[in-house]
Amino acid sequence: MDPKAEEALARISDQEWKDLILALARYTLSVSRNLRWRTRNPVELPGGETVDSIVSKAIEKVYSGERAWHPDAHPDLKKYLRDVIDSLLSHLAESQENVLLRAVPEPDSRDAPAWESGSEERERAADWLVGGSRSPEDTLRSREQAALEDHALELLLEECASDPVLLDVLEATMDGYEKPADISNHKGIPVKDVYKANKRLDTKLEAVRQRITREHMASAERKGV
Amino acid sequence: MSNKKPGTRELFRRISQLSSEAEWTPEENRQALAEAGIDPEALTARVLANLKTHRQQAQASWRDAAHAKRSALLQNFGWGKISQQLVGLNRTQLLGAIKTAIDNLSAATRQEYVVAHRKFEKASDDDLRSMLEELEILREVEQSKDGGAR
Repeated sequence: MDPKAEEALARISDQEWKDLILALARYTLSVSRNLRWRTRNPVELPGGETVDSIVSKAIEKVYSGERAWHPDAHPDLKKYLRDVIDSLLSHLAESQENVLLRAVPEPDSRDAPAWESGSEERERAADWLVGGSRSPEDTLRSREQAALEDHALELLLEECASDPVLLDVLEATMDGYEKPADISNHKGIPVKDVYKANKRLDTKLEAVRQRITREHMASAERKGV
Repeated sequence: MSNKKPGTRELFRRISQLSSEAEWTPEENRQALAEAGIDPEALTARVLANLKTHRQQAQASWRDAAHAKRSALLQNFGWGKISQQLVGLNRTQLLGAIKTAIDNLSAATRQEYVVAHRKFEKASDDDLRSMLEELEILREVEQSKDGGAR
């Protein structure tokens, strides 16, 4: 290990580690929610991995030197560990266990709240499941997925209705403004407040996810599936 | 600004991405984890316990590497000869040998060594033997420097 890294790690107190672990675990959860998991659970991941095992692995890789942290090049350890976590989750999402064994839910089954907010890239990567030509069933499923996402967006807008800053930030993001500085300039909101608004938006998004899951489970029960 | 308006899925990803880049207080992190059904205190305790194991393993690995380097150095400087000379020496003889070895160092090295090991009389017999080995290395290094200068 880089002697400077060793020194820097030795200087971190237990309390600082605790705060760092909490931040990394929350980050892991946030990234995990945006990936597709065959477990359909952002906490209990394929291969027996969990949010805390991912955080532990990231730290272990730095301590063992498998990921060579150089404080001169990357002074922010939290950011460096977040990159390691990104890499671990990305590999896990693309692992055979996650991809090959991913279950395709029946549209109205109890499992169907297959509403996951994976990126468009992730969605295309999973397209092998349906092969080159899409069956009418697949097309229907895709339409249902799109309808589900539109419903989620409606609910999110509803959740944000009473908070003008949230609506402004959401509107700017929908218009294609991606960087906080651009959103700030476009809407005249301080960058700090853009970040704060995104934290609140993320929390509301999770509330929407849970609401949709409940709606689907209730619908499945009504249909006796 | 990016080139095109994002689809709903991409919009949600961007929200989460920006949220993850924001600064969260430890309390906000705890709350977010708890809302996802994760006990933040139990999680922290588990990861911290693993961290301590990694730290010990890293230290042990560092010690092993240092020990291997030291052994290699001693081999180069006639470790066998020194070790044999030290066998059977009692504590008084070890202390006497160290004082003699220190006296044989150059003035500059002697001064540094004495400052670094000012309480060597309190060291264990094993540590005194290690000191004698180190002093032999220092003597050899100084001699080779002198030889190089000539």
